[in-house]
Amino acid sequence: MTNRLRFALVVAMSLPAATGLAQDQDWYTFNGDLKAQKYSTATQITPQNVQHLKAAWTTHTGDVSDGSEGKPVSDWSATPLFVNDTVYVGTPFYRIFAIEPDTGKVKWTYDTKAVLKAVTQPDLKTRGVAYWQAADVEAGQACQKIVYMGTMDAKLHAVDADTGKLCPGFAQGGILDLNQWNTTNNKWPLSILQPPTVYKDTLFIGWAGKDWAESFAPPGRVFAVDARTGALKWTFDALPPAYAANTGTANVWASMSVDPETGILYLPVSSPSPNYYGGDRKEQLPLATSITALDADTGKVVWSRQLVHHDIWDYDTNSAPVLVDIDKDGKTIPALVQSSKQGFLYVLDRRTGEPIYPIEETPVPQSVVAGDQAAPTQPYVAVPPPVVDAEWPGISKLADIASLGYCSRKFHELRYDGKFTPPSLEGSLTYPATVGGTEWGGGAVDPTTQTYVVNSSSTVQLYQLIKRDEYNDITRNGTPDGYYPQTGGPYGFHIETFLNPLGMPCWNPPYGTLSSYDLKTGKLLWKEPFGEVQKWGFYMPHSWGSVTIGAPLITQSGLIFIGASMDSRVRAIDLKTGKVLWQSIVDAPAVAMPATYSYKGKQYVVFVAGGNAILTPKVSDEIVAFALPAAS
Amino acid sequence: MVQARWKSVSYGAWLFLLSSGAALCLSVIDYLFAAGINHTGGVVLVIVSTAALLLAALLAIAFALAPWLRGLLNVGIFLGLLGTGFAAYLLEAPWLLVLMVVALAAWVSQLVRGTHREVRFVGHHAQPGAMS
Repeated sequence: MTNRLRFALVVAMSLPAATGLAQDQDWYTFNGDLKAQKYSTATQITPQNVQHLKAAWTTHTGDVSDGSEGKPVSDWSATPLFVNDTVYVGTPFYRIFAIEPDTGKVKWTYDTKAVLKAVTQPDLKTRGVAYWQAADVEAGQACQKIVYMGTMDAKLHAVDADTGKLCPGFAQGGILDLNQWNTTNNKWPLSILQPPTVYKDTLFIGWAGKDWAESFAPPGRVFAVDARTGALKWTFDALPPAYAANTGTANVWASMSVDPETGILYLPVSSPSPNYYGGDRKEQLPLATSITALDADTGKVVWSRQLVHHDIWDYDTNSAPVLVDIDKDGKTIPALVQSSKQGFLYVLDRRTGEPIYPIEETPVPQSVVAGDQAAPTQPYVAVPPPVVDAEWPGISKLADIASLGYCSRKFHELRYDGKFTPPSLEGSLTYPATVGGTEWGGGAVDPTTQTYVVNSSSTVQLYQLIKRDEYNDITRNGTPDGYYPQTGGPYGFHIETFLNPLGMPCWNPPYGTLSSYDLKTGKLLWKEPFGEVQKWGFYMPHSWGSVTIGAPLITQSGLIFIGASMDSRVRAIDLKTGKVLWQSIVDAPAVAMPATYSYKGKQYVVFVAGGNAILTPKVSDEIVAFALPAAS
Repeated sequence: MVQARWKSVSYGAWLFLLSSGAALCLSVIDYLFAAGINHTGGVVLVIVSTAALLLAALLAIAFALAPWLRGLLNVGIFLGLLGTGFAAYLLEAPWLLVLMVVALAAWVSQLVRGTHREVRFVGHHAQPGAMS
């Protein structure tokens, strides 16, 4: 046995101990595991029997708001966790549900009693809970296993996973107030909408803010705290301290990944504020809109790679890098794959950040807005092929005719010079727009075949900067939809999706696709329109696809499970061909990532159907677990 | 003559009436319960259009309308059937679509059969007693 093989075996055997978990068919993190692979070794449900899949149980939490009863609309993107023989879900009312995995019966609930107001984000939003357990669980002792739930008002609650009672040894009586560390440009609380990433005995906590509101905002700090006590271990700042007061954010609002073999933490770092004007932050901010690798023990930067220079498009790095080893040119390379709003897939050596497939600096259109200066080049990736085309899809004849030429006329008023066209005073056509490309779910990978699958959207939006005086005039009697102040800077901002007056997209479909790539070669294996647009109940042609939010999971049996589309359907797809093998309707778009687990010999696939106002007003509080009937 | 005419329209028209009524009931059920399309504007539209078809069927059966009005009604029914069928297709409501196809077939058959009987009546009037 070679040293290398021996090392690999030791690492593989020690992995459950490192995380304190049996990994096989649990789903113990937001992304399924620490590497964010969204992959399960479960094989009970196969392409041959998946058509027999039925709802095994359905649970309604009661935590849903359509915005009509004084509460903001709910936006539920929580991945259900399965661990400790329990399904744990966090709700958009910031409650935790512990559920029996085979019946759907509620074991216990915990209420954070969070303020149900749009303190930062416009919706009541959460992406769920995190789980930690001690490496050596002491029987009869409370809080050896903890579920964590964050709130929009910056509180992180630690709750015993067996009883649902607060863990008094964690922070102040079981509640950590992240806002105690919010000391620079503290315009709003640091909303914990994304569950912390848990590695060994440490929680890594990012946060979300109030988009597009302030030019000078809280700087994007990541906090590492002790999982038992909530004590601060270290912090990481993506912005140089000297500039932090003149900008802000560059925060980590999405999930993170960890390589348990090296102890490196991978951060998707977002763009700095203000999002659409960079005149007040012309300095080099190399860690903004980047993938940054940190030593998980110390918080020191191991490497960083900026994905967008001088970001003025809100192209946040928005999902956990997916860690996978790639066999290429006779070598096994520890790699990561980063999907992006801008549509590129960055495949890097995760030890160094160096590209495995080339990244080329390419000249891009320049800004003519007074005070700003766009970066002369941006990093472009040709392999793997981007999830969206290089050029915008062009005017939809149907939408144009239906609106008596509105789309064409509007297009001719806009600035469009290709990808990375900067925001402008006359209005710029932006493709892909801030909703992607690929959103916060990112992709999934089958590590055995090194097949990477990712859903994406093809969206076109119009970005317009508005001089401060003019903006003040427009918003004097209230702020119309789509207007954002970027307070403190010289420009307000208007954003709208490029629709005709009838609400039809002015650009050609498909609006969403699902793509599969061979990471060994970087080649596209297949790309299919995904989901269906649904308006007033009418389903549009399948070839149009749907804008997608959420992400797929892959099982070893060769299936992809995914919700994500606006038609409220959940689907099983053949990993080899991309063909839909099974689908079922749920109460609202299942924009959360699904989870799969095995319990008492049965495999379940569980979807949270919560909805997201970006797709459709339809919302729900439904959790559905599907399984094969006993005879199948 | 009136009695004979009533009979001549009855077969297809009754089936049309029946399928329109069934489509109305089904669309109400879909509005309340059908997964994916319940409580949507699209189903409301279908409820309205199937109700209009039902009304049109009743009008056509119950009243001897002037030819121009009957022609207008036929055009309306034809467009209504096509539109409702297309809506059912987009709603992915297969039974509703089937009912629209049946209703269309019934209506077309009624039109065709009705015309033939009218021609035949002319012959019958030339031979009194043939009606008994």
